[in-house]
Amino acid sequence: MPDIVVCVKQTVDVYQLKPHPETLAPQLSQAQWKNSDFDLNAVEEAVRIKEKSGGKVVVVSVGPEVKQLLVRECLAMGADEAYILSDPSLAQADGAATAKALAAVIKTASPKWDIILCGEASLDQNAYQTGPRLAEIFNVPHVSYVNKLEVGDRVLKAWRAVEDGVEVVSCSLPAVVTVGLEINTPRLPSLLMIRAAQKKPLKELSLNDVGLTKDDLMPRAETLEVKALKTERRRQVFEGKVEELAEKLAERIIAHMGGRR
Amino acid sequence: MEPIRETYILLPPGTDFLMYLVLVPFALVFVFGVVYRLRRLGVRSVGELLNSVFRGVGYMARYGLLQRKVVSEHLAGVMHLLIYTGIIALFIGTTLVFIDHDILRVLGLRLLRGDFYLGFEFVLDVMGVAFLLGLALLIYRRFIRHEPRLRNRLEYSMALAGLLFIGLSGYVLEAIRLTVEPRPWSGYSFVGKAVSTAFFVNLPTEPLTLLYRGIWWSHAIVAFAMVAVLPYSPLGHIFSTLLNIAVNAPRQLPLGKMKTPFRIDELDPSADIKLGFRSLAELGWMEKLGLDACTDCGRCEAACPAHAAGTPLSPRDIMQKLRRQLWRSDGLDEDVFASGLIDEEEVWACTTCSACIEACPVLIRPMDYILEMRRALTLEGKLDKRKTAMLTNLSRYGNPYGFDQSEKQKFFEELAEMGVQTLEEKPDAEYVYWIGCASIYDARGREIAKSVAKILLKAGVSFAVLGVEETCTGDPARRIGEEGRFQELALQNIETLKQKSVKKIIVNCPHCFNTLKKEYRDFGLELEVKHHSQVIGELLRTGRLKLTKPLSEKITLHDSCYIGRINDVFEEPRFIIQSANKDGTYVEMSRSGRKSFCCGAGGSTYWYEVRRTDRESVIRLREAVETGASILAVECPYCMQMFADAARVTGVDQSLKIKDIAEIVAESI
Repeated sequence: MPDIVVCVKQTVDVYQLKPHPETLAPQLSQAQWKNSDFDLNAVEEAVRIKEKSGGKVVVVSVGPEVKQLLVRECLAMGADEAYILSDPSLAQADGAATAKALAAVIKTASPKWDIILCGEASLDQNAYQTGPRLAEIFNVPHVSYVNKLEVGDRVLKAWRAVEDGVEVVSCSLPAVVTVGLEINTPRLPSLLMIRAAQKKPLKELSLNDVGLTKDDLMPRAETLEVKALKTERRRQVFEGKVEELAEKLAERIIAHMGGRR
Repeated sequence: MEPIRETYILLPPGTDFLMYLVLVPFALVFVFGVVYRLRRLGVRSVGELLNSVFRGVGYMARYGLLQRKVVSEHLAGVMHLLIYTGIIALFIGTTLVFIDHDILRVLGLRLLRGDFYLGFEFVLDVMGVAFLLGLALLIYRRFIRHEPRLRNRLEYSMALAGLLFIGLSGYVLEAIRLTVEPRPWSGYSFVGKAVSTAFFVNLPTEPLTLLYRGIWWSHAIVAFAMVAVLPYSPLGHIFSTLLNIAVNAPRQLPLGKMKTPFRIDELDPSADIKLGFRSLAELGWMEKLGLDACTDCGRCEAACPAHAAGTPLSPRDIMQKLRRQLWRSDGLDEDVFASGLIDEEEVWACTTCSACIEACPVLIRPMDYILEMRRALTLEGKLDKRKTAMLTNLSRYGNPYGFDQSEKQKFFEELAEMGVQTLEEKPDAEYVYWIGCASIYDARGREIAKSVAKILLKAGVSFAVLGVEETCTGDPARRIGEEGRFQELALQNIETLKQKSVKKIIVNCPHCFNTLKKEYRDFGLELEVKHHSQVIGELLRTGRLKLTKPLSEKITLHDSCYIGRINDVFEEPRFIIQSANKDGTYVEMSRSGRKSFCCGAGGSTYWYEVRRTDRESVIRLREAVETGASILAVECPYCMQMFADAARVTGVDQSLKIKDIAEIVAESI
């Protein structure tokens, strides 16, 4: 019966993010917030493990302004309790700062755990940092890019999606696992379930509660500017018979790929 | 000598007493069966049952006794009518004999005498022929024509054999009686007389009498046995369908309206959550009665578009599987999905077109059961990617496509250029034109909205649009079973509409039409909602809209489910087409009006895939092509998209144009 901690980041919905027409900076104030996709896969996987082997699923979310409703969605998916750390200093947090904050919350609120599940990356920054850094802080093994996971007694077996294939590894627990989008399809809790999840414990913590100061959360890297890529389409129009068109199009694609067929 | 009924003739004295003695165990089995069956359904008291039946007596008379819907299908209807009236007449005949012999005779009176008796003999002989003719039709349909929707099961054949035996042996008995004991009035029993002449005259009396006694007892025992097994056999539909009609018809919602199981704004968050059903134990006795009344006739299956398209769904199978589950010892508590009884895909394949409801001769609503099972599945949230995406899009962006505000804005700017004003700019507008997501976000759908706008502007209708404040009505959420998200959208829309004091709405989407008109009432908003076919029809009739460029095309119309069958608008779209197509012709497809065949997009099925071997849209498009029409007219933006795809797939997109009725009218302005 493994106890699982799932780290969930709330991000802006990047698919809906529109760059400012002149500055090209993303217009964050208009953007909608959501749970980062990969992290929902992590929650789903945790809940499936619980459904199969028992145990407890704890959701932890840190950020500048964590929204309770979104956390409740995770609870509605089947997690048992949630801890939130909201602090404005996390607005600039990078993977290092986030891992530090998450670790502090986990140590305070849920010190007994067997697995920490994270999304392999976040929807907004895509840095692939937080999970491995968390494992370093706790000094436990970590397995990343997992798209299939089996949890046994004090041991786990994971299928990692690596460049040219799948690597199957196993390690002892406790461990940190980061998962990709392919591992499952996260369930969509119905609105009734989300409402019912109000009964589940959700606790807000402060920096003080978890023994952190603002200085601890200084990012290692400094973001200078975020800008949208401006790409021009080539707008090439081919005309002629269908068979010839296909041929022309294929040629162009091959040329674009550097001539490799 | 006065003609009189000679009951128990040719039988030894005391046979009447013996017969009643033999009847007792059969009667007990019958009564036990009825009580068991009602108990199993969960009927708590006779009072409750009678109360419910009483409320539906009118429906029972119309659809039960008069069989209004049974006869709507010709061959099957005639067959059933013959057997039905035959059995009833023979039953009344036997009852009269009982009254005559066992009540009146004891009191020294007789009923079956004189002219009345002669009439009695004649009528019963006629009805017996009707009965046998009906059975002959039954045999023809099942065993010669092999109608695909008729299923052969042992119990059905046994019921047929029993009925056939009773009918034939009755005539044989009559014939032997008339041979051994001829009477001057034998001619009134014309069938018996004929059989007698053909087979029995000149045969010795002694063995004939013995034969008579043997057949008489077998006739009686088979009849008793069939009565005894009524509650346990398919013939039990005699009672279960009548009961279903009486109990369920009065409480059925209008087509297109789903049950509102809770109000999300009034819901106690700590209350237990239950929605739909996953096991029969969760159904009330009235719903179970609906299952029990299914006779396996297969009309719903024959009408079901999802079935025709080779999806796993057959509404008849759903009903029959659940019905059998009712009678299995542990059937009530079993989870229908976990046990493998129902495949989730069966439930997802339903397009909510309501053809099964229209088809059912005994007013059962297979679709209601399907949608309630959907609700149970959706409640758990274990949906596939496409369903999840659609619902997420609804919650997040207020439309099922997942487009953000800027797309919507872009289109409303286009409309503004045409001269369409928003309600903000024109607060005193009489109508709000509610465009609907399919015509706001989809490129082809946008053309429909522009045509509608062009017509409304041209006719000088006082209207405005909501602009970016318009969001999805919630229809796809409700029909995929996500009641909570539906209500969230509905309540938000209702607040907007109330705030702006909107009273009258024009829509070009049948799904918006149905939701705004029928579903929002449960949440406190009564609107006058008009489909664009109704508005345009009115404009043409009153002369406010004049068409100057008559078309000369051959046009056929696809009735959309949610405007046609579900909301009874058939006349207006045809009138519009004919008004615009003055120099052309109008043709009907083989299935039209109330019997129209769904395009395959309804009930949110547009938003996900179900495993299948064919497509509803392609099947329907073939029907349109068969008419030889040059234009397939539609009245729904989803039908438009479905057929446009189907036309591309089947390669008829050059020869058959697909146009909304508004586009047809706009062209002839």
